[in-house]
Amino acid sequence: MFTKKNPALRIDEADLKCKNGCDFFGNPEWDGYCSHCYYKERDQKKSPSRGESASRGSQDKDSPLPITMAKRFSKFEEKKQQQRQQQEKRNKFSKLASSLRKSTSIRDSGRLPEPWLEQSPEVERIKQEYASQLSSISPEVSQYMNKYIQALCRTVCSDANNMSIDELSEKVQKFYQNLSKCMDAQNINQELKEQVLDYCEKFTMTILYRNLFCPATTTDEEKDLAIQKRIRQLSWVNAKHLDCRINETNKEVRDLVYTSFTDLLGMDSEKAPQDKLQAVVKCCRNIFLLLQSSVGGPASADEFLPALIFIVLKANPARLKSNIHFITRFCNASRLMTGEGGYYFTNLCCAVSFIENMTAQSLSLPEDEFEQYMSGEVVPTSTWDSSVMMYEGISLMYEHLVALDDMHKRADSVLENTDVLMNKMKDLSHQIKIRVDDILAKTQINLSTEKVPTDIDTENPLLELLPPPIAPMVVAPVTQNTPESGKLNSLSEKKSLILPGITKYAFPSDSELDALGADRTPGDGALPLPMSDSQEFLLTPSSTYGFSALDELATPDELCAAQASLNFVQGLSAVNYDIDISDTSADSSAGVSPHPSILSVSENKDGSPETASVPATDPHPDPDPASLLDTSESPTSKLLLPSPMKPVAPEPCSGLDKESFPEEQSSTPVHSQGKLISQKPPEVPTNATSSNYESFTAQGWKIQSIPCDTGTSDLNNTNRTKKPKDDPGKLMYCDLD
Amino acid sequence: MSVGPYNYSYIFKYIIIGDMGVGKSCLLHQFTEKKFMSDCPHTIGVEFGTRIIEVSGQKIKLQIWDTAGQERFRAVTRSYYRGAAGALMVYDITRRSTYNHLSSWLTDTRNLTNPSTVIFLIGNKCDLNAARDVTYEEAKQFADENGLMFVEASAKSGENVEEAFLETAKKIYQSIQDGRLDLNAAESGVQHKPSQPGGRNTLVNDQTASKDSCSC
Repeated sequence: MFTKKNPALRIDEADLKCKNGCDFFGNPEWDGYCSHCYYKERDQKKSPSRGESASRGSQDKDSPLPITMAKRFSKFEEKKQQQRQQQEKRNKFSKLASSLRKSTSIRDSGRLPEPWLEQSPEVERIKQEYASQLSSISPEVSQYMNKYIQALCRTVCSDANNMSIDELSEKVQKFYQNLSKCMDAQNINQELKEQVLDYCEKFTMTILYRNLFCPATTTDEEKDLAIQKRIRQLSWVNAKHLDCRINETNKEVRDLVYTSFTDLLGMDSEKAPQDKLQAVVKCCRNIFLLLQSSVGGPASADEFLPALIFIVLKANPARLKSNIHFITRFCNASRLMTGEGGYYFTNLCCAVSFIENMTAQSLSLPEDEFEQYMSGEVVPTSTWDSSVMMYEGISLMYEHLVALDDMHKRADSVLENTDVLMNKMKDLSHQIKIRVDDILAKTQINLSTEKVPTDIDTENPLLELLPPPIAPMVVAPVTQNTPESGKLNSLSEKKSLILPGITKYAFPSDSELDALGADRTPGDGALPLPMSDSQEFLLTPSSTYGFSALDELATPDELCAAQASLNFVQGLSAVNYDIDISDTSADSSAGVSPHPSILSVSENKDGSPETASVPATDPHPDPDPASLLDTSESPTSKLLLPSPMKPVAPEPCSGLDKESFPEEQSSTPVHSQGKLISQKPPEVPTNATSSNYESFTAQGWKIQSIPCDTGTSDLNNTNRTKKPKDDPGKLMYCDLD
Repeated sequence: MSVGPYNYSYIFKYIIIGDMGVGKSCLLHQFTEKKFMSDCPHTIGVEFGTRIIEVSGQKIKLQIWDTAGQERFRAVTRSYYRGAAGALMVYDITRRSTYNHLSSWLTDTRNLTNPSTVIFLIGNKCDLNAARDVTYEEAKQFADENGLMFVEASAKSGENVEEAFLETAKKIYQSIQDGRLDLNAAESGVQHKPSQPGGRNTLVNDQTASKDSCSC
């Protein structure tokens, strides 16, 4: 603040004088000298350094012609010096002028840190790129080259702010010319010369890019923004407006359009002018390609220019004007005059100027319509953007449609399968109904008379009560047996007699069965050996749902029948029945006629002793083999059988362990009920019962509501029912609905 | 820059102008495609619109710039003309309108090129003689009046195409020999390829000057 108020007091007049002591005023820009002294001083400083560098250069050379080289070199040096002096003179003036405005420029020029020496990775890359070519040039040439480059960089860096862009451009072009002349003087072959020139251009322009591209002294940036805005305004222009034959619906063409966008946009990311030019060339080549595929033949300039305009409009490249100016100013002019790059660049310039000057007339649109479009009031129908969006939307839609079709097919197949399954199930239920009815019709007669008493049993409470009584059951048999058990036994005996002849045995209803079962349990207890067993089965919680019911039934025959019926209900094939029967028979056999009966049955029906004869007796068509296999496979049999069977009776155990054998199968259900099994072994020897069992197996029995004593067995059964084939057929107990 | 053989002495820049659809590109293709056959066995790659010919024992590389002929682009295509040594002005003999536009094309050419630029008038599609709309005599008269060289050619059959390009080159070469065409002039459209001192300096200077004045 103070200094400003009274500067005169702070600075002595002597301080303003030249350092040399002459009477002229000095200037901070001249290091405190007056202009005269400053030039003297500088020349003194420079001449020794010149000499040094020259001598160094000659030493370095080791070339066969050191003298001539030195001569030439000195010539160049003279020239250079002259040039430099001229430049510097000019610079001084401009600096003086500018220093009045900008104090910063003084500092910049005063102690310039030679920024071109800080080499960026880009520059390094360029050096490497041209390393092989540069290695083939003679050291003198490379020295000149480096000198030129340095000189250029120095002047440009120091004067970028003070010189007009045209002057800079001129300098750079002179630099190219001088280099070229120098190379001509060295009789370097053309190809190498081109490469060296190329390198120099790339190298210097990359280094000086910051200074020369869109410098602050120009209005390039404003122009960039202007053209960008203009292009945005013209976004509604489409290929039709330009009479441009780009087939937008062709995917190949669209890809090429996008590629040329990318190429054109890539122009801005390049630094060296020839690289920028190359980007333009690439873009234009792609345009020619896309025109070829659009038009179906070689494209002409008549088609090319509109296409290029279209691409520029749609790509809206960043800093378009700056790039164009940079290329025109600093690209080696001979490059722009001829060659592909020059041609395409000229086209690009034409395109840009067309865009800038675009009028309604040039698009052959009515004036008002053009104005409306420009103001954004109206949007033309088929713009490129909308068509592209449409296309993308449509392609997406198609993808989805395909996916939908696929899903449709799958859904159809699922529906078909479900239909088939439904039909099968219907058939099955129908069949079962018929069979059940049939069995019922047959059995009803038998049961009707005797079942009358069962009504009492039907009361569910009994069933519920059953489990607890299990323990007492052993004792109870005598007491309980009296009425019902006797009846049951008689029934069972009757049934057994009847059953052998009749393959199917139909019971009236589940409730009845249940009742029977409930009733029978006590009855079984009443029976001497077998009955007691049966009772135990019943009592034991382990017995399967169906089994338990069966077991509860005093008479083995009935049990068998019930099981068989259950199997029917489930829709399981005879296999199930067989197994069930065998099981039931086994169980029941425990009561009346134990294992032997089962075995015999199996032998009789199947013919093969091993296979369960029961299946044959069953009404179902696919009985034996499947059932056998299934039984073997069935997890329940394996799981259930081994543990209980083994300890009790060796025979059943073996059977259980073995897979898919009728005996085993028969035993399997038994096994589920540990108690039964344990009891059975002693009974097994008795063969007489077996015959009865066969008959039982044939009988069908519905057991619905009977509660299952053994959850596990039930589960197994249900599982089996679900998989008829897998199911051994032994334990196919399903509720009849 | 063109990469390839440097065994030619000059590069001539041609431009082809004329209304849309007169067959400019076809002429160009007809002419340049031949480079693959015999003329230039050492051409590396496909160079854009170029062909090397020989005139009076000198190898000359012709570089031909095709231009868009639409009326709407007339205003912006003047940068094409810069530095053209030869201009092939094409019209379609079956379409009178293309002939009628010749005067405006000629005006443009005269204004935008230097006086020594050789202008060659080509009546294209002479294979469609039956559909002729412009007589040879009429066009010939027009050419004579304006000091143009003239030939009727067919890009389709190739008739006279070669001749037109070669004659133009000869004429240009002639003017170089006569000294009428200043190799050092920026707009000469001729580059002397092999290392010869002089000329370049001014050439490039003028070029840059003209570039900067370009509206692009």
